[in-house]
Amino acid sequence: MSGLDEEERRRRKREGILAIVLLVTVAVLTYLESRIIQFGADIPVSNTVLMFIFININLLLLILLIFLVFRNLVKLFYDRKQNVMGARLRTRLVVAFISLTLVPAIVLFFFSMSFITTSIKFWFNVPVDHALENSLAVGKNMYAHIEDSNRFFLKRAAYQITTNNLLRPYRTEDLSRYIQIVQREFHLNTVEVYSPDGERITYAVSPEIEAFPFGTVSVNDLKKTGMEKDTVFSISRNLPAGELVSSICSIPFGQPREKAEAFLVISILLPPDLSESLTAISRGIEEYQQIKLLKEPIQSTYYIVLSIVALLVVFCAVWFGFYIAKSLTNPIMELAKGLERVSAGDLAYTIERLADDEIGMLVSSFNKMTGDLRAGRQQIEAATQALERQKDALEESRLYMEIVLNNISTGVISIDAGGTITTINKSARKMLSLSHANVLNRYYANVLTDRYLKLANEMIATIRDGGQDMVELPLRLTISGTPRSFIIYLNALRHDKTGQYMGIVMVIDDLTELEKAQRMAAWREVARRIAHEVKNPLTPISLSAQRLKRKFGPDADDPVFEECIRTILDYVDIIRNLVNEFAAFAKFPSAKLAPCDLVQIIRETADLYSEEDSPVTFTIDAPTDLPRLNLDRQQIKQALINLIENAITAMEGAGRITITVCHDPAAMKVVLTFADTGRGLSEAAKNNLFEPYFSTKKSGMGLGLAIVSSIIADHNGTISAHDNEPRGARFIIELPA
Amino acid sequence: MPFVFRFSGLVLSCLLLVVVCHTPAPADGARLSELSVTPSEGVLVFQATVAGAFNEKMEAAIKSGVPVTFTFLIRAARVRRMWFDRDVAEYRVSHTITYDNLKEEFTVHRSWEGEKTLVTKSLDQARNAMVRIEGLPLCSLDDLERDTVYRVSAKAELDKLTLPLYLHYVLFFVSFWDVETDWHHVDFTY
Repeated sequence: MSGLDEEERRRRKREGILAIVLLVTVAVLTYLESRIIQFGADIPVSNTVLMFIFININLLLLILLIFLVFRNLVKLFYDRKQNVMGARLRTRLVVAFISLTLVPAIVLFFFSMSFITTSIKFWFNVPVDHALENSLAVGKNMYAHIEDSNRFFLKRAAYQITTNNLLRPYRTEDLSRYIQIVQREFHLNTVEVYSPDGERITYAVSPEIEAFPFGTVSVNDLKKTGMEKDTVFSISRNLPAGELVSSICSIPFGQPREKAEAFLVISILLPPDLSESLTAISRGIEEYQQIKLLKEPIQSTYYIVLSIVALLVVFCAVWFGFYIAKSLTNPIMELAKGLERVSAGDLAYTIERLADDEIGMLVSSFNKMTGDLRAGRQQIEAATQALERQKDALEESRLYMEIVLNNISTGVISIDAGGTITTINKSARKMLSLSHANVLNRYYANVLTDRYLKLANEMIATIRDGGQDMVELPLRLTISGTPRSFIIYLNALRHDKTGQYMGIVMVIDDLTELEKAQRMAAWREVARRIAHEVKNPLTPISLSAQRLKRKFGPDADDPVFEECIRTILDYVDIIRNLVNEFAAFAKFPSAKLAPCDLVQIIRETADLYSEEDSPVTFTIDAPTDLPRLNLDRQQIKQALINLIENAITAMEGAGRITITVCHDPAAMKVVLTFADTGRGLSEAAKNNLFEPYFSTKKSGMGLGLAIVSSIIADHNGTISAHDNEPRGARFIIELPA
Repeated sequence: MPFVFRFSGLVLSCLLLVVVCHTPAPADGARLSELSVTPSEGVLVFQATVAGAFNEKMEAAIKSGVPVTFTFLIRAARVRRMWFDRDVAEYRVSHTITYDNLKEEFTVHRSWEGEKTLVTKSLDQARNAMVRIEGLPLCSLDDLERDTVYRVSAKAELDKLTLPLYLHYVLFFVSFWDVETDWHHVDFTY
């Protein structure tokens, strides 16, 4: 919109400049024309001024028109070269207008020129020329004839007057009588005689002109001579009765005028109509010849005027073409500009509606469209902002849920309605030893195999199709070679409103340690009770056997008696030892933690078995800067003893035991690796190694590793059993540092 | 855009130049000659001749009946060095020639000769009468001061013809001749 105001201001400035230039040009042109054109003093001033004004206006208008048209043409050409929008349409319209106008204008122009040329030629054709020339010749001949006739009569009369001395003063009457006779006999209209000083001596007139005074011939006329000193000189005098053609000669005839004794004048009266006719012929021919002189200038003028008119028509057509083109292209350009602005994102742009036609309707539609787009965009922006806020809230909620899920100890896995695993939290991944990439967004059937897949399909079918929303499933799995016990809760996800099945969420609890602890507690209780119940009868049995030995020992000669008593006492001891072990397991004291040097404990324990020439060699690899750990010295020693005992047994008394300690400050733990070169562990043994009463030995209660496991558990550590390379077993103990 | 304005300006300048350059042509060699002043019988007598005034077109126009008038502007002034010259006498005389195609005779009327006219069938005689001024009394010798420089200036111009049918309004740019001599001067000391 501001562009239009700017345009308006520029246009007005241009018009102002143009007006001033025109005024100056008018003044200059007027001065120049006053130099070129001089109308003469006999034309009124007002007419002159009027002519100046008209000429100036015509000239200025023409120059202005030519200037404006050429300017527009050049501008159009320039715009076309620069590919300015709208230039092509304007060019087409202007070319169309010019073509529509030029062709008929040219045809008309040439036809008119040809017509004018032919007409002018026709007007000045030879027959007309000849006719006029002949008419003039008739008139000339008539005057010549009259003059010849008069000459004849003058000669005769002058001769007679000279011969008869009629000029003598005393013969005036005779002279008068003679000239009257001459007048009557020769049918002359007047006969006059003049003295050398121009005074009329006598005259005779015919009855036709008697009533009309015809004056006298002037002295000058009397004394004029004709061509080539012709003796007769003719004049004309106009009378009411007609034209009096008078011929003058001197008396004597042929005498030079200055020496003439008298002058004789004979006149013939031409009738008025004849005189007028002759005058008309003369005037007509004069005018014809004058116009003939102007034939070419008039022709040129016609051509120039025709050319100017044709040019005016063409220029007006061009100008009109420009005007129409402008009225069409300007709104279209505004629309194109508007579309550009709108596509660039400026929806506030509007176009002023200047016309009330279809273009104006288009402009209104455009403005409405941009208004609607603007409103729509505002709505979309508001909706987007609301969505953004919702998204932020959802994201926050999701992140919170993710953090919660990743920090709970329970494993959570969700599967969508299509069977794709959509979430698996950190606990589930750790429990099942799975990685994010291997599981997430994969179809569950591609992740599970064999009986687990079959089991999963059954569970999913139960939930999806069976109408059951919750299934509880205890499961035992071997994870990374370690048997684990889980309880899995499968819950169906259904849409709140429609009840549509949307997937399953699995909640996994690792019951392995809980079960171990429960089993441990149960075994402890059993061990305590058995120890208690079994231990009680042992003392009376032992005392009774001792009593028998004391009473009947000295008297009994049968060695069987001694042997039996000994056997009874031995096995009572064995039973008591077993019971004591049971009791020890049952009421194992809780750990009393204090900062200790683990490496020192290891070395002390190893030294117990490191005798010279011992078949069992120890290799201890530990850092020198190991931090002190909170340990129960005695229990750790006991645990190490149990491990060494097991290793020696597995190595069948000879082999190498390697103890490696390393500190992981990042994980805040110390890892103790105990490896032997024994016979190793079977898979079944690995599963139950730390269970009470599990033993691979022929003898023994199988409580050694259970006690080790219990001690390590009391220290908040973990122990696991693995295969050693190339042979043997490897126990990995992790203790918090 | 500047190119458009420059080109337009050039076009306009050309058009104006065409107009400007249309100046009156030199008078085809017409000039005053034999300019002289002579004291005679108590008066200062002026004499001059216009040479090269007549051309074929003019003669054709005359023979077609167009009256042609020469106007002579004569001025006598006393020359003053430090001031404008003082006019002593100023005359405007005209010579008119007409042709009667019926009688084939030329009539020359010279305004300073009063009613006297020359009627002749000879074009040469008529032409001579048209182009010559002889014996025109400018002023009385008593009006002149002795030992004073005087200047007589004269110029001849041909009046524009009046065309028939008011064509001179339309064909104002048509000029068969533009006979106008320059001012000629002759200085003398009385």
